[in-house]
Amino acid sequence: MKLSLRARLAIAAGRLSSRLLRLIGRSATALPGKLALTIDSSLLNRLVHDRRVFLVTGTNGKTTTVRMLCRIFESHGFSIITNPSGANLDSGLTTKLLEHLPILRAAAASDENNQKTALVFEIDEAFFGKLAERLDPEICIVTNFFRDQLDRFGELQHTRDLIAKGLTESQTKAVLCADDSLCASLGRERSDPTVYFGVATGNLEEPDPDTVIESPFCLFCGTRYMYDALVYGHLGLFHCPKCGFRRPDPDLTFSQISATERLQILAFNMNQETVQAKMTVPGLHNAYNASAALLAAVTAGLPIQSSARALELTEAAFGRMERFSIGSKEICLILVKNPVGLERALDFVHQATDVGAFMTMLNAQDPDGRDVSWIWDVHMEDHLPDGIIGVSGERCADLALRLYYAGKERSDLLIDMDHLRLFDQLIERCPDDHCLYILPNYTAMLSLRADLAKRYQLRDIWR
Amino acid sequence: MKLTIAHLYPDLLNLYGDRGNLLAIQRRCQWREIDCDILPVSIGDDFQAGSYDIVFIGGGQDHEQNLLHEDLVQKKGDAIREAVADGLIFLCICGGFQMMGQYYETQDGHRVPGIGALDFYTVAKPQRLIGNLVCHSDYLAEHQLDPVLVGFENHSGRTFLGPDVQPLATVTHGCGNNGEDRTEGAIFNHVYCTYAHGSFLPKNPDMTDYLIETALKKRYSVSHNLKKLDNTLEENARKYIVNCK
Repeated sequence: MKLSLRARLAIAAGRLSSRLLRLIGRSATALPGKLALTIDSSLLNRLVHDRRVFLVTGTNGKTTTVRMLCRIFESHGFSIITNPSGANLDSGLTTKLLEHLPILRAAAASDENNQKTALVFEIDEAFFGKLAERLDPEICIVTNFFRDQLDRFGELQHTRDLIAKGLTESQTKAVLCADDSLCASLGRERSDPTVYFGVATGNLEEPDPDTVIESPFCLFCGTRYMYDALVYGHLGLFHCPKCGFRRPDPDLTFSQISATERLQILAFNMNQETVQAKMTVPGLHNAYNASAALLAAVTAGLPIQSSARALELTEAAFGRMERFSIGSKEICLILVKNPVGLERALDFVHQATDVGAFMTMLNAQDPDGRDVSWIWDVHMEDHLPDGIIGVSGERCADLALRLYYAGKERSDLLIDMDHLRLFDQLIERCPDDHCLYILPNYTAMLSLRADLAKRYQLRDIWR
Repeated sequence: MKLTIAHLYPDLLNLYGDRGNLLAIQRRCQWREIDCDILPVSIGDDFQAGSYDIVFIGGGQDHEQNLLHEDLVQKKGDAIREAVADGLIFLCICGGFQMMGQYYETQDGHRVPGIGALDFYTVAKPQRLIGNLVCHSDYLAEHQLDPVLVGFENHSGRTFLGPDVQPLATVTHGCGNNGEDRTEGAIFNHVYCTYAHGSFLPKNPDMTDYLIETALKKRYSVSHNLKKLDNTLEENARKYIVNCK
C-alpha cells in the first residue's frame, strides 16, 4: 500500500493505542480508529481504496446476513475482514481495519490476493448515508425496512431516503428485497446495476383483507398498494394500481421446502437453475437473509452451488435464534428489536414443538430506544404461548402490562427484574428434552447472555 | 350494554403504540361485561357521529399524515366539528391532537390548516421533544380520580392553547405541549388531547375508566358505577415512570 507520511503516522498511532488499551485490559473497539482518523481524516478511505468492500444495511437481519456472506467467501478461500455488530461508525471500522493490516497489505500486494479479500461490513441505517461513499463498496445489500426505534431513527421514510443517498453517492451495485415496497423503491431511481431477491410466487396465500399492513401507500403517488400475496409484515407481492410501481421480478427467488424450529430446507432459483440448502438457521426471515447473501455472492462472481452449500455451514449469530444446551434442557435466545421482529419470534415459538418454558425481556437503554410504546403495536393476541410467561428486563412492568392486556392471566405472569433468578425458575419448570425460549431486546440480550456465558462457559463470549 | 369506538385511519395512524389505547378501553369494558366494538373509519368512509360513543385518533408518520389530511379536514371536518360541539367523546394523541387544532406550521413556515375543532395551534421546531412524561391533572383530581398521568412524548410540534381550551394537565417531568408553559394536552367539551404515547390509556387506568363511564352515561342516560378492577400491573408500570423519569 502506498500511503502518505500522515497516513502512516495515523496508522502507527492507532495501532499503538490499540496495544496500550489491551495492555491495561480495556476494550479497543473504537478509540484507536478515532485517534487515527483525528490524525488523518481520510485514512478510512485510503485503507479500503481498491479493496473489495461489501456493505449490509437495513432494519432487520444485518448481522445474520453479514455472517452468511462471510461464510460463503471463507468457503471460497477468501480472507475476510468484518466488523462486530454495533461497531459500525467510521471509528469502529477503522479500528477493525488497523487490526487486520496484514490482510490489507497482502491484498494490496497482488491482484490475485486482492480478488480473494473481502471486507464485509454491517452498517447501521442511520450511518449508511454518511459512510457508503467513503467505503466505495462493490456491492450493498439492503435487507428490508421495518419500523424500528422511532425515537432514534425517526420515521421510516427518512431512513429510506438516507440509504437512497448512500447508494447513489457510492455508485455501488445494489442487492435489494423485491418483496419490500420501501426497499424495492430504492431500485426505481437507480442507474447503477440492481438485483433483487424475493419469495417464489408458487404457494403463497392471498392476504386476509383485515390485515393491517405497515407502509400501505405507494411511495411515488400515494395510492394504496394492492397485494396479491403477503409473506409477513408488509413483505409481499404488491403493486400500485395507479402509477404502476410494482414488486420487481426477483433475480433470485427462494421457497421453503420444509421447516422446523431447528432447520429449514430452502430452494433457490436463479437463471433457471435451482439449488437447495439445508439451513440450521430457521425462520422465514432467515430465508430472506440467506437469499440476500447468496445473491450478493453470485453478483460478486461466485458460483451458486458452492455458495448455497456454504450457507448450510452458517450457524446462528450471537443471540439470534442461538441455541445451547444446559444438561438435558435447551435454551434458545431470539433477539427482538422491533414490532415485526417480535411478531415473527412469537409466531416462531408458537409453531415450535419443543417449547418447555418461555421468557420475554424488555430494556429501554439508548441502543434499544427509550420508548417502549412499540410493544403495543405488536399483534400478540393470537401468538402467545399457553401457561406461564417469565417477564424480565428493566421495563418488565410495561411488558407484563402488555401481556395482561393481550389476554394473559395475571397468575400466568412471573415478573422479576432479576433475570438470572427468573431464568433459574423457568429452567426448573422446563421439562427435560424441551427448550426454554427467551425473547429479549438488544441490551437485555447482551446482559443476560453475558451472565449465562459466565455461568455456563459459553463460547464466543464477546460476539 | 355496549360501546362503539370509532378508530380514525387505523391503516395510516398506527404507530408509537397508540393502538394500545383502544385495547385498554376494550379490555376494561370486557372485564366488566360491557361489549365494546371498534369501527375503523378511514379515507373515503363517512364520519357518522351518532353511531360512536368514543372517537380515537392517533399519530402517524409525515408521509401517512399528508395522505389523509384532505380527507380529514375537507371531507370529515364539518361532521367532526359538529360532533365536538355536541359533546361526543374524543381521545386524540400526538399527531391526532395537532390535527384537531387551527393549524400546524411546518419548519419552513408553511401553515397546514387543521380541523379547527379546538382553539389551539402548533408550530414545528427542529429539536424534537422526546422522553418520559409525567404530569398532574387538576381535571382528573376534580373528578376524584388519580391526577397523575404518565407517558412518553416524541414530537417536534409545539402546541399553544387558546383561552377557550383547558390543558389536560400540568407537566411535572418532561416537556408537554411546548416545553415552555408546562401545559400538557387539551380539554374542550369532551375532547381529550395529549402528547403521551406509552401507550397512554393502559398506563393511566383512571383516565380510561373515566372515558368509559362518561360514554356509558351519555349513551344510557344513567350513571354507572364501574366495577373496581385490580390495577396492580398498571400501577407497577406507572411507578416505573414516576420513579425513574
